[in-house]
Amino acid sequence: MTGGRDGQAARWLDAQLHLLDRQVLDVHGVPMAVVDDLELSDVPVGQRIPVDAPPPVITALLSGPVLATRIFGGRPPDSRMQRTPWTAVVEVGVVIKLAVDQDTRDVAWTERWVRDHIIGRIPGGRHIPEREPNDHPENDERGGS
Amino acid sequence: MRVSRRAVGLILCLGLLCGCSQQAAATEDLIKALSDAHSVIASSILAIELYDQERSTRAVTETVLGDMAEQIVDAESALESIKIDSDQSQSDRDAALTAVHAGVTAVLASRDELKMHGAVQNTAELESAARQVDSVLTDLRGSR
Amino acid sequence: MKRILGVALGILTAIGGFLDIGDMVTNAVVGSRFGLSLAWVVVVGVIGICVFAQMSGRVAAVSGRATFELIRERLGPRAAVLNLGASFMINLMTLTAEIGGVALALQLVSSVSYLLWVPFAALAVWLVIWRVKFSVMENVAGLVGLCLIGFAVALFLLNPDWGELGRQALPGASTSTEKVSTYWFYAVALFGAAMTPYEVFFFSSGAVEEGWTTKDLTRSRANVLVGFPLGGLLSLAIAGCAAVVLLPQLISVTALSQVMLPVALAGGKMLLALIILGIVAATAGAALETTLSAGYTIAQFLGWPWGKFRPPAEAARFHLLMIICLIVGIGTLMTGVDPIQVTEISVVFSAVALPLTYLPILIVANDPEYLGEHVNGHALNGIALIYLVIILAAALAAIPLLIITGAGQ
Repeated sequence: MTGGRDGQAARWLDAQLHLLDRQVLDVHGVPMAVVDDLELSDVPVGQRIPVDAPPPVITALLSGPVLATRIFGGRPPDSRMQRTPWTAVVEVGVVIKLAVDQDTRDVAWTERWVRDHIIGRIPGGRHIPEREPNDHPENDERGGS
Repeated sequence: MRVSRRAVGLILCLGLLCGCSQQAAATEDLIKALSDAHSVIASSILAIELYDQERSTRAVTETVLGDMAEQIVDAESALESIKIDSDQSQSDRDAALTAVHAGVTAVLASRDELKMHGAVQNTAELESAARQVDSVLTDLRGSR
Repeated sequence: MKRILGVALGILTAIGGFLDIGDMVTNAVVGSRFGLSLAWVVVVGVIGICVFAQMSGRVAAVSGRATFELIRERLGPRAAVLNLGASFMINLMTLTAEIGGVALALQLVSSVSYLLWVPFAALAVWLVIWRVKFSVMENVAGLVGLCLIGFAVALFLLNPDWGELGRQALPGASTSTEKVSTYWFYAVALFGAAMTPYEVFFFSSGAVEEGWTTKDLTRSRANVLVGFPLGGLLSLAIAGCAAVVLLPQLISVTALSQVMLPVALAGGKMLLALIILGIVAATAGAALETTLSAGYTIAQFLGWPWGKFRPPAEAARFHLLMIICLIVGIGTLMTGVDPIQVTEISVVFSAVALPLTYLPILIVANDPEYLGEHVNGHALNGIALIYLVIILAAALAAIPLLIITGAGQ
């Protein structure tokens, strides 16, 4: 599905296995969201797709309130899903890594809100913990890495 | 309308069986409540003896007696709410209630004595209640 | 030298951290009513938790991913939500039981009613989660929890008839007064107490917290394979003490205070103090673990940033969730519900939830995408499959037995 870029070999990805429900990390390696859906270009609803139409392209990752809809069916309207453009994706592996900071994205607003209004106000909330004795420096993308 | 003798006999038998099994269930409940009471009284006696021998602390003994008091009061309530339907069950339950009530009085008295005086004089009342409970238990188990 | 100390520390922590209020209460109740005739369940449970924890630790160390992240990714949303819901509710129940346990232990020291200790215990748990380093938390709770070795000491001091105890433990020994259904109910409860699911979430998340890699695998294996069986021996010691002192007097354990009586008989006030200290540490440690597990399960499932290695402000929802869980725990206990009953119900439901957590771990432990060359070997898979059957059997039997026996009456 993803074509080669700058001479890189192309990779086959299965949307369900490799993209959906995967953790998304921002540029600092901090967990940001989970991929709940994918936005594809040019897939008209309710119309037959002509045989020679170009294949759809992933334009964005979508995250949103899908807990109930995943269990019972249906999907939330597009206005309730938050977009992360595909161009921001740097790596697709066990997790999906982005090149953007989550503080600039709407998808992380609940985390920011709780931080600013509740946790940040409790004494010690912004205290940086000491490093653990077994910390290996190359392991700085824990907790979702 | 003629009702066959067999049907009457069958109904009588079923009625007797139900009555019997209800009585058996009641007896089981009585035994359960009495066993709980025995366990409570034995624990209280053991706790007080250990405290007398200075092997246990006042805090632990107070906690044990407090917990046991709650348990035996619950056992007494359970006894009072057992459904009885025959004279035999009634007299069984009365005997059980008397024994357990003796236990309740003894445990509460020991608990309060420990709290107020820091020691318990003797376990005579508890031991007598234990004997009462055990004798009713033996009777009930024998009658099963 | 430093490495030996490190290994020793890990093993000691595993021993001291193995027991929680569920183990203590269930083993004491079983010992006082069935003697050692359910000892085999502890053995089965310990082997099971070793298999289970080893797999989840390996998965976390090699893939860098913790349990619930994997459950979501590998099983898809529907299965994962069911898993999440059940695990979280049981975790919450266990958390409540552990905080109740800390409060009960503090009552044994002070005579002050446990209800007054509940808020303090929960506050102390929160403060440790808020500020204390993960490894310090684990090590202190584990090492002080080692005081529970006092139960083994007590058993020896009681000078029991070892032959009689051994005879009780053999299959076929009959327990005269208890019904068969009650025997099997307590077998399931004891199994659930030994194989507590939160242990696995915690173990795997802890591996990620402490930044384990494949280099740490041998150490984790040693901790588990040596520490957990020794912890299991302590469970048996608790049952043994109850069997030797309480069973002959037909005392059935219904309160934590009764568990102290054999100890006092064996070793007096000194041993009593040691044990109570051990109970406070072990239950407080378990309270910490269950609270963190509650945070881990939800945060990992929903993709939130999590972990004690982050400043709380950078894992805000994770910390808020744990605060809410602690408040719910306090609220539940303050209604006056008996913490011992909460404990007994929580171990039974732990048995029900076991397949939900075990199966995903087994699946992922065989997945080369996550583990590369460290996937399960054939022998381990064999044992793991046998345990899958045992776990399913226990899970299916748990609720019917609970109903039939009226929770072990």
